[in-house]
Amino acid sequence: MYKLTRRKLLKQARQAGGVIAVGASLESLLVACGGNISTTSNAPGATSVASKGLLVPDKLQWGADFTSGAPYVFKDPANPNNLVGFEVEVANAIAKLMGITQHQVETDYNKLEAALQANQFDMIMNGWEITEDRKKTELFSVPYYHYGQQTVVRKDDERFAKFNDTSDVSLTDLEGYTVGTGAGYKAADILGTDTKIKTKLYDTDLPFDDLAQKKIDAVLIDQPAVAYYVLGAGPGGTKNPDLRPIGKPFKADDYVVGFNKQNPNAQTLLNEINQAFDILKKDGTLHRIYVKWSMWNDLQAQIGIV
Amino acid sequence: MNKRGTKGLNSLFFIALTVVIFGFFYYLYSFKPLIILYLPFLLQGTVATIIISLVSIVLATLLGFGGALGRLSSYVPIRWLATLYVEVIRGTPVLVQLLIWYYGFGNLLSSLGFNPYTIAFQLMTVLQNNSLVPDSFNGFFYGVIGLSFNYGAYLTEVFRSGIESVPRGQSEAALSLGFTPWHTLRRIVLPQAIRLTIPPFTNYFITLIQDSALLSTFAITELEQQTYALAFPQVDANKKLFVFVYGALFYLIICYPLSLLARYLERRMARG
Amino acid sequence: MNLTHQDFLAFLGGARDTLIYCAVSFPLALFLGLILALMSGSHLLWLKTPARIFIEVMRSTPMLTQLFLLYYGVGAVLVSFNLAQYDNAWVAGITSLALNYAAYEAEIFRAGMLSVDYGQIEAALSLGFTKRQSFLRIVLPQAIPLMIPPFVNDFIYMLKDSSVVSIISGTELTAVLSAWVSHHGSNPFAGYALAIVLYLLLSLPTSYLARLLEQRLRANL
Repeated sequence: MYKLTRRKLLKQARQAGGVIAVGASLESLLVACGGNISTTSNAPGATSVASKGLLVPDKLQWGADFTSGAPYVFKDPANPNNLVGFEVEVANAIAKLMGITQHQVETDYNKLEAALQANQFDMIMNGWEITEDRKKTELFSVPYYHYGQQTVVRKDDERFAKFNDTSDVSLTDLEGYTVGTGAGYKAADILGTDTKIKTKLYDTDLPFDDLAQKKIDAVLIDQPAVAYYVLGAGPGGTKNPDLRPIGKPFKADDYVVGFNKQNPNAQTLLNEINQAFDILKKDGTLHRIYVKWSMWNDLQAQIGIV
Repeated sequence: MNKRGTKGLNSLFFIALTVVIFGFFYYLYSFKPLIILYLPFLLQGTVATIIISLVSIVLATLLGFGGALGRLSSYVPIRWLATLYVEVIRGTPVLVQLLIWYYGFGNLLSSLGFNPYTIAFQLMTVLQNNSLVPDSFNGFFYGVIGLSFNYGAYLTEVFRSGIESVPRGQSEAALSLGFTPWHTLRRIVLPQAIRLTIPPFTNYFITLIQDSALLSTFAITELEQQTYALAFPQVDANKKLFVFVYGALFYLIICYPLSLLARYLERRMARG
Repeated sequence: MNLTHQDFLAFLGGARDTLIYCAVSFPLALFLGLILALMSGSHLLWLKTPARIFIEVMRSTPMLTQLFLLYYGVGAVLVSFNLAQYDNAWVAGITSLALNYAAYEAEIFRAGMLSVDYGQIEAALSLGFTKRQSFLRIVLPQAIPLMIPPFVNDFIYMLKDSSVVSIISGTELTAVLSAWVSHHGSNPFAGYALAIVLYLLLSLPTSYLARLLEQRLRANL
């Protein structure tokens, strides 16, 4: 009797599996030929950092949004099978130190906080900043990138002709103009503090097209986004011929990794990730990644990256 | 307008139409590398969209049938419950319902220890296939439930009016001939009611397929989200617009044949 | 209850914007729908075919997709006519709601006009009415009562479908809800409940009205 029901259950489950399989990505279909995702240790030699704080052993799961995530994490336009972005490379570097695999869990940017609270992944790594709201529910790692707000204008815009890429640009220089940025970005808060600037927020797509089409006068946004969409850094990026960044990045802040305070293992993982960052900052790995994505600048020395 | 004038205009029109169609194909052709490169990803999204829609319409049919029986029930509390279900669902947007299922109930249940992803993952681990469970399984799960409940309410009304369209005298006759109520429903009422409900049912299926695009807000890799993921990293604005057009073509390819079918069925019904 | 007085006002503002979206879009949809119906009922191919193509494409693609295409496409058109300042979520939202619903309203117009017996038109023509007169005096007065219930139904649909505009960061009710939920992720049910009540307050009276109207029209026929 027991055997019969079990077989029946397995049969039904397999049929259900077939249905889910088609919905899964091609990549995982290929992996599927190999059977299960390993849940036992694969012990690849010496590991310099422990990984005791993970939800699933030997799999670092990090939440991020790849749909509008260039250059943090996104599908390579030249080969969408590949997930690329500097945060993918950072995650890979951490996983390598721990001797485990890393896995990005796709989550809408606005819902990252809620998904973290539901323990859908170990941590958030998606250009995440420390805010007062987030302090209530999250723990934060040491910074892994020190970024600033970059101003972008059209190349042929006479009104900004006096600025070059090393001049000092501040909020006052943007007063009287319509400035675009992403909804939920820190630049949105910064622009909101100056009532003489007309701010336009973009929810799904970044405002570079609108700037080129003269719908807005300038863009103020995290420097990495400018590196990809304007300077053409990284795979898939092409230099935008109509736009140019002006001034040095300002209102500097740090990208950190966020952990769920409610998760009992969060502090353990936090220490392990901090240890990994410490190594990556000193052995030149982070430097190499940031140079590749045109994100390297002297500011990084402030958070100890060499 | 005289006949010759009409003819002249018509031939002019055909030339213009041909030019437009060729223009559109040339537009597509000019993005040939992107078409080939992105075809597998959009096809994969299309398959996911079709699976979501099929599972949802099956569940919605069951809910709708149950709801219709509830609406016609002689037991008052059940009738009220069914009416409440129909009115609340039909009075609120499907997007809001999906948000509530996914973020509201989804987070609530997962804080109580119920996580569909973990259950599916563990089940598939037993079957040596856990890599088949997508990360966004929770999104699929609650998304399908949300769509099913929404369309269940609309189908309740479709089935109810279908059942009510069968003259009461027929079921009374059947009952007096010794049929049980269940038998009467299955043998007498339903066969007649189903014919009437098929055209609106097909129409609702088409709108369900279109509404499944809303699941893209839960990061589920269906057609719409796949389109976004391919479009947004494009630096070139023309390429970005093209990816949106390309994605829309896939919806057209799924839905247009269905809407032709719906119209054919409607015409056949009208003829009796 | 973690809804403050201010949150409540924000939700009410969202409901107001939902109403504005629909109040502007629906008349536009009716007007465009009538034109499309006349075009697709025409004998002239160059009027009929474009209308049919438009209706079929609109009915076979999700509104979400249309919204995005319009947001980019219409934006580019506005810019080329130096009207960039009109490019925002209001314009894109209203345009896509109006265009999408125009396709559905066109079908209602067509069905309504077909329902008028052709013999009446022949009779009118033979009595010396012009084509335009027979349409305006004979066909429309009979067709309109038949069309009103489905129009009201579609208006209720539009009240709900306008929630899709929230995705291009409109300011209507669902957008307010989404913003509120992203700050109150841990206990969002009060916000959901308030949004549902507001939507029901918008749609239930309309649907009650529709039913009343339908009954009265049926009684008259």
